[in-house]
Amino acid sequence: MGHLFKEKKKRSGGSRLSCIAMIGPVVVWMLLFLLVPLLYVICISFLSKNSYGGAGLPVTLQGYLGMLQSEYGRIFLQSLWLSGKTTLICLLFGYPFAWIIAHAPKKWKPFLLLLLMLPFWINSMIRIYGWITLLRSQGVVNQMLMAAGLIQKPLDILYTDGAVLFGMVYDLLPFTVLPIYTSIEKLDHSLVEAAQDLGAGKWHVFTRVILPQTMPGIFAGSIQTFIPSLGLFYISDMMGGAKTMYIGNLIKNQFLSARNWPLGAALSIVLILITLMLMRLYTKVGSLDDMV
Amino acid sequence: MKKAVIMLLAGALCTAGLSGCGKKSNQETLYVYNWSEYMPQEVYDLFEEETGIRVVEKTFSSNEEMLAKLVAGGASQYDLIVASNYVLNAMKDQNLIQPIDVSRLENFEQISAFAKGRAFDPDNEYSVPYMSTITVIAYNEELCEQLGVEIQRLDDLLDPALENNIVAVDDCREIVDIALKAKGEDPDSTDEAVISGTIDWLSKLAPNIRLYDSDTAFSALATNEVAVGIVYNMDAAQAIQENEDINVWYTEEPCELSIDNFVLSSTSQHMDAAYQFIDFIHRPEIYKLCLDEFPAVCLNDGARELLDEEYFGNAGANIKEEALEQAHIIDDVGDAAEYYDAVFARMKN
Repeated sequence: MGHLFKEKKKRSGGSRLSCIAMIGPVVVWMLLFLLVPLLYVICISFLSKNSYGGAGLPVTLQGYLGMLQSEYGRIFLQSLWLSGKTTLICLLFGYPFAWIIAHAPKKWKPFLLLLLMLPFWINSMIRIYGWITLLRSQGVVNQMLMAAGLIQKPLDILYTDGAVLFGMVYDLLPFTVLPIYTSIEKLDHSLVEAAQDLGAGKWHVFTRVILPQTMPGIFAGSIQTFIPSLGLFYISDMMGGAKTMYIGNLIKNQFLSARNWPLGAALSIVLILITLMLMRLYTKVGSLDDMV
Repeated sequence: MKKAVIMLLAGALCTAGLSGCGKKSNQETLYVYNWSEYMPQEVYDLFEEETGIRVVEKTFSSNEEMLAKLVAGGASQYDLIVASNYVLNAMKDQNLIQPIDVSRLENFEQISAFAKGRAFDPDNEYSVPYMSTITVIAYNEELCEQLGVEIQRLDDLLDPALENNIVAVDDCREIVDIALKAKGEDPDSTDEAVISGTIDWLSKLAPNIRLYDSDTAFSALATNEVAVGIVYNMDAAQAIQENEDINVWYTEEPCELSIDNFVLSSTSQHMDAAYQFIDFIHRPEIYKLCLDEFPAVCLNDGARELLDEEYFGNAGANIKEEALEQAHIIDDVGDAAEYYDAVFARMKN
């Protein structure tokens, strides 16, 4: 009995050690690179601004009160609207895209997925520069359209809101496709067959059987598109000519030109809260495992 | 000249020898914090070849970025910083920089009288000028003729014929200052009402702006994307090199000028190397190398004599003397910076 007890104790001690070894690095990482910076940002958001940048005492709510300016509210709404549009378009294109990959012949699948991931091998900013060269008024697209006689004057494609939307969709589409692809892969085909046997039409099968089953993927894809799109300030800078200010630019400017760190920090906190709310919403519908 | 350099080198060697005999095997390194695209690598290499001191350059793209990083604790990482005139006081107040002894610089006399002893540092106690940048109106002769546009006053920028046809620097001070000058106000105003009052002028300018770009504005001009540019003169010069239709207009109102200066970090560990480096840059033939690559406003009289037609023939590089004399030197506005940013944000939305 005593021997057995000893054995058990030893084993549990060993597992504790391995537990620390396994989780320890992650915990340290999270503490150092997530929690500490986050606390730092929260602290700054409650401090007073300093004329030369930086923040100091006394503790105030100025950062948060500064947000109440109508200007900033509008910029917030504008950013949410752009992100909403980006997510919707990504879903409309991403779903059929994922469907095609999931139903492609087995030997093609890895290749198609590789093609989807391929752009990530090049820095996103460089790819955006590529689009600028293609879309500018003397660029390849306009030159070709003019040579074909389809237009007389170059089209204004670049430096418009449409160009920003295009850039966002281009950059984020893979993030929508991948989770949807996973959920389509997991789809239980016997249910589809059963629905067909029971006489459901194609539309009915899709809306009643396929769509509900792939909902976690759709949700995961939407969140993975929506959240990063709120922070992609350089796309609106480069493809929109920095003409419209979005939440990302606004935060950047508070630190780098307005010298108002507390306001910048407060805006970041609000953005983090929005993200958390969305994640919470998501966990009610799907599980975090689908987020891949 | 050569003698002086040898003397200086000998002096530097002596002090280095005195300060630490054991350290000789370690190569001395000078850490420079500089604007991006402002000093060619070739110059650093030549300096290392001559003195054996390695130069490590880190770059920033705005004074605010530089200040933010130094305030956040980065000051100890650099010896020499290239800072614009309007942040000098902020740096001094926060003890980020230390006094500089210009009598130790052989080539200080080469620096144009125009740039020395200006109001931001009357006795050059803290700063030694490097180069200067002026904001000009660049234009495409052919496109502007087609549009029937001519810009003599800043108000002409509001011409509806220029709709969606201007590239402008993405900087709240530069743009709001243009509005302040057009309205006859003080371009260094700290009065919130005056600054927010520029919104009516700015909202008329907004529809004419095709893009804001501080880093690669020259490419929009060079590729005929826009007819007019409110750009730094270096961008104008680069556009002119690539597209001969580009030229420069001067308005009745003064241009915005900023003078970029060498300052010594208060925690510098390599003072002698820093002095040596500043002196090296202001050697006319070395300064010319910098200008060849980055055609900003020349502030070195000796180098000016060495410059050729490529510089003088370029309206973006060779700025009219009166324009330089009359230019408004951008000053720090302290807490009012946020009003400038707010009105700029309103203009953009």
